[in-house]
Amino acid sequence: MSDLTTVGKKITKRDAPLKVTGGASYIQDLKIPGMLYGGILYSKYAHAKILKLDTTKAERLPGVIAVITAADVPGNFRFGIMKDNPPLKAGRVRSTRDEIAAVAAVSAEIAAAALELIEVEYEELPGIFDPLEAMKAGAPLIHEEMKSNILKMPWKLVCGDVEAAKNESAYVVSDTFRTQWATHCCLGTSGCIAVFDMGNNLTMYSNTQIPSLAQNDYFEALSAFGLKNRRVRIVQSAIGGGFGSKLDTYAYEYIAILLSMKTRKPVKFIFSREEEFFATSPRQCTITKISQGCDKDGRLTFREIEMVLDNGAYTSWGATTPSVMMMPISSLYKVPNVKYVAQCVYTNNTYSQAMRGYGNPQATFAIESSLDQLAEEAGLDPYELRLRNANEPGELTPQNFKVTSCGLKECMAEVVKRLDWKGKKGNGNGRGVGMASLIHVGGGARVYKSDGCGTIIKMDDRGKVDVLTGATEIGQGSETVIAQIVAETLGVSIDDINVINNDTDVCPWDVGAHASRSTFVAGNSALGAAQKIREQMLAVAAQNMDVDPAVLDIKNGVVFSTQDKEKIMPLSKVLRKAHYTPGGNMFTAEHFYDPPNENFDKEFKGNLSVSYAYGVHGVEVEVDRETGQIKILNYIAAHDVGKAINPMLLEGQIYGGGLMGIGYALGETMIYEKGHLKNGNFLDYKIPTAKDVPPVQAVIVETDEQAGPFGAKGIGEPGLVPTAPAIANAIYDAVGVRIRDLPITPEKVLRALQEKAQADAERSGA
Amino acid sequence: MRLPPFEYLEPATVPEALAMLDAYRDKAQIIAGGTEVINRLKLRLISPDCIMNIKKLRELDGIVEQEQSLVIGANVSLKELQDSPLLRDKYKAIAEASLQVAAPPLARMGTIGGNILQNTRCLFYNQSAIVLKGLEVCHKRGGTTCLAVKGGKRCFSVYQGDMAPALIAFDAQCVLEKNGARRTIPLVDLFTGMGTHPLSIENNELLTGIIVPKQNGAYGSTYRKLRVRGSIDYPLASAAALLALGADGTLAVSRLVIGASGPAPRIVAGAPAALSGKLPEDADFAAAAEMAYELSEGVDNLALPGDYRKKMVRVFARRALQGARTDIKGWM
Repeated sequence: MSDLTTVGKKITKRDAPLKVTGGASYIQDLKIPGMLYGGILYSKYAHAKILKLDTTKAERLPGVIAVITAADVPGNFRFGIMKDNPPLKAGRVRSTRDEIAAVAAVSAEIAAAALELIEVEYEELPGIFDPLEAMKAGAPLIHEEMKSNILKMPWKLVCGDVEAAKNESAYVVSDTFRTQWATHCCLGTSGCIAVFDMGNNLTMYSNTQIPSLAQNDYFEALSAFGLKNRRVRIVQSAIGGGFGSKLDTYAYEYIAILLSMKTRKPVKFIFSREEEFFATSPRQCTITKISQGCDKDGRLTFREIEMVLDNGAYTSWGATTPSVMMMPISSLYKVPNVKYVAQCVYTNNTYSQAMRGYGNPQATFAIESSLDQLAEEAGLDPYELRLRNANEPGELTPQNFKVTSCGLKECMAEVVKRLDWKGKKGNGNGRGVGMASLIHVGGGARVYKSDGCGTIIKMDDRGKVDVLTGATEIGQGSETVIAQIVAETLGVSIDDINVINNDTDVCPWDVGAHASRSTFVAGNSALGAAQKIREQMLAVAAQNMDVDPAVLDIKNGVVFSTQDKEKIMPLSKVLRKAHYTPGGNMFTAEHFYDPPNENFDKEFKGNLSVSYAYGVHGVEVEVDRETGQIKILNYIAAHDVGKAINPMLLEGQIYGGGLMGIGYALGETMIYEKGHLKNGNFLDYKIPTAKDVPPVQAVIVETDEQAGPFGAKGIGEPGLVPTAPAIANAIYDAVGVRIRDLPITPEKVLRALQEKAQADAERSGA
Repeated sequence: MRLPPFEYLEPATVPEALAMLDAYRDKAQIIAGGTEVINRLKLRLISPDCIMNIKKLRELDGIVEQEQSLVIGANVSLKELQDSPLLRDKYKAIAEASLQVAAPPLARMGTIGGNILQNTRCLFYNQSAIVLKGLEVCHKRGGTTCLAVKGGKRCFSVYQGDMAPALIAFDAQCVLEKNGARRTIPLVDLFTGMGTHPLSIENNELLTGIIVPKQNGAYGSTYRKLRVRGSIDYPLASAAALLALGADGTLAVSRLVIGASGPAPRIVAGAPAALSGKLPEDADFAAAAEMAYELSEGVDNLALPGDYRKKMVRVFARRALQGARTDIKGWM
């Protein structure tokens, strides 16, 4: 692999020049002649009956073309994985983001003015905002047709015998950890333009991260709306971040479709920043009870977790995050006996969705915080405890994950060395170090029936390559990585590669940009197609050069014989030979790659991913004992990535993930007051700013994953998974207080310090 | 979010501006950098008929050193304050405050006048209708309830300007001009202490400049601010301190000002008595800081809880005093 020319190089992100110069066309920038502007009226209350809804005045406002309510939605259509969410609500509202009515007008200003003219009479109902309250017997039902607020999704994983292991453990710790509502903060807000042609075929301009699945969602909607068997085309604009927020379709998209059907005009929706905060679906809050034990040698004996997740008022992917939480619960470190039970609960809060890490950060916060507690109980250095239980290549985990490559110990070693763990640990001087590890899917994840992605490659006369991929570029760099893989395989310059990735009319099918899968799955798909077209080209070249194709290679766009330096032929000539020969040929290749990973069985066991990504974060903090403020002095993020296809993009993922994790750990929280979001803006929602970036060392550990393209594994999500527990553990090391609920704000630290001082005084007094 | 419609006025001279103000009064909203007003317009906290842009009034520019004082024009940007060697040398608290406002792009746009004249803030007030829908109308929006303090009889919104506490520590005056008249008042008196209408400026007055008296001899000053993040954030508690030594080497002047702890920046009146006549020790500072704590309001209406912010006023007051003492040592 040493003679790689494109793969493994720090190549500038292909869309970077366009984006930094303002040339990229985001959904905000797109305009279609005759386009109308949509607006949505949201509920005034988190829980209420709608007594009266009158849109007459709005309809009469000049410039308003259509006003729709639930009465205009044909076929009792509902969307979402539990089909519990109508695009427009009738009779009853269950959250403050409930859509009641929508308008299409000739300008955004008129649309906004029309919304203010819609008259709604409500009867406010008491809301339930605490999932524990909602679980109680006799609690008012959020969905009256259901018997309980607890979703019928019995998440339960049992491996081995936890009760027996508990009794045999030398040390056991138990505690409860909580996490908060947190949101993606995509710089590009959500939006779409729905357009119908004369044959009632839909084109949706969109910034979705799941074009093929959204296509299917819209297809179902059109069927429900009386437009069966129509074509659906999705054209993606430049996407200003996804992070999971665009992994499901939203009510506004169906509303755009309905308004466009009604007006026969293109209808555009663009979320304001405030809407982006309150009307997209965030990472849910969780309450996690955890017990872990180990034997006298520090070998983990069991891990038991009970979890409650706030689902919110409707159901999207948030309800399925326990499937990913099972991964660290069963398989982060060697733990033979595992029990995990999770319940998702309807409340009158916003409803939850996928967000980078997909539940893994919440679970890992509990596991890795608890592990430090166990180390203390057992009298072991937390690093030593982790090392003794670290995962290794070749392992079969209790959930039946087949561990292939695994660089967990190498990552730990990097962290320990670079942080000066032994020198800095336990000094008790207001500074402290902490670490936490992660496991995540690194080779796709079979969450749907398919985990596939298609690629089509075609060549022109001059050696230029068009790569049509199903993979979506959401800023993560899939376009660049795919171009590198194809360039490397074909022996051409990356500048000769054109990646087309934004139109379902021409791009092959793919399940979407999720599960850190693009480099692995789309990369393998592109690699497969590139290898096929390379063979075709070498066959034609061999014929023309009168040699065996096996001795041919391509470098810098030139086909040459590895045995005879005289025998060379430019690739462009090979291509023209194919095109301009009687009975000629054209070079195209397609490849569909679906990794051999497994859906969970009924017991939630199975090899979810072909390979797993590992990493360890280590952090040194300084705690201000008077204010409770935390300063991160040093941050090491070591990741087992298999192989870095593009180290610069990879480091970007680690920096970005780490910083998102720091925000999650120290500041970000959605403040709700009776279901109303009070900090839906970048001033009051505390994502880190440039000044909050600590010194971060991104350490790339390469383990050459055999199943990965050029040895690569996924890296999209892992960067933020272990951040919060690493910081919490460092705070404990620094000042001896354990913060169990995120975010770790200074007032929580100060309160804990004061409680500890009081307890210490009482103890010394007694 | 979009701006409401308004008429745009752009006077070319101060007299023209004053004449316009006299004519429009409450109907006009003055704008300079816009970093405060634009947000309030977007949230519909204000819906003025006209926006009067004073950013082009050259008479309001410049930092001018006079014999007994420093005169800062109301249009001087925060960036100019940050870059001024004079402020950094002799008015450290003011320079430090300017360096801690918002972020570089906002500091280039925002002016000292606008920063001083910013309105009080509250998580229950600085919101759009979409968030406030379904909630009762609070005092600050013309209602009779407080959403932050259940049963609160008045408005507990918080003045979160960074510049005012630092300027007040230096006993700054502000110049208010109107058609045919001009008054100069202590900056601290510009603040009413009432959350519903926190500023005592008349609706036809224009803040044209700030006068900062010169300090003589050995003195030191500093500004300290609590915030969640390293930039952008308004202060959640703040303190500015000025300490000056007399000829005998003991403390002759001390002024401790707290911000972000009520509807107005406040001078801690008892601090000089606790500190003067000696070279203060940390214990003396602690006593003054305790007074700051007593003077501050801690209400759950900003990013961090009120009781915590109140405690932090004590910490930051003491640290500001210590910082000022360290700054004096630079003179000695």
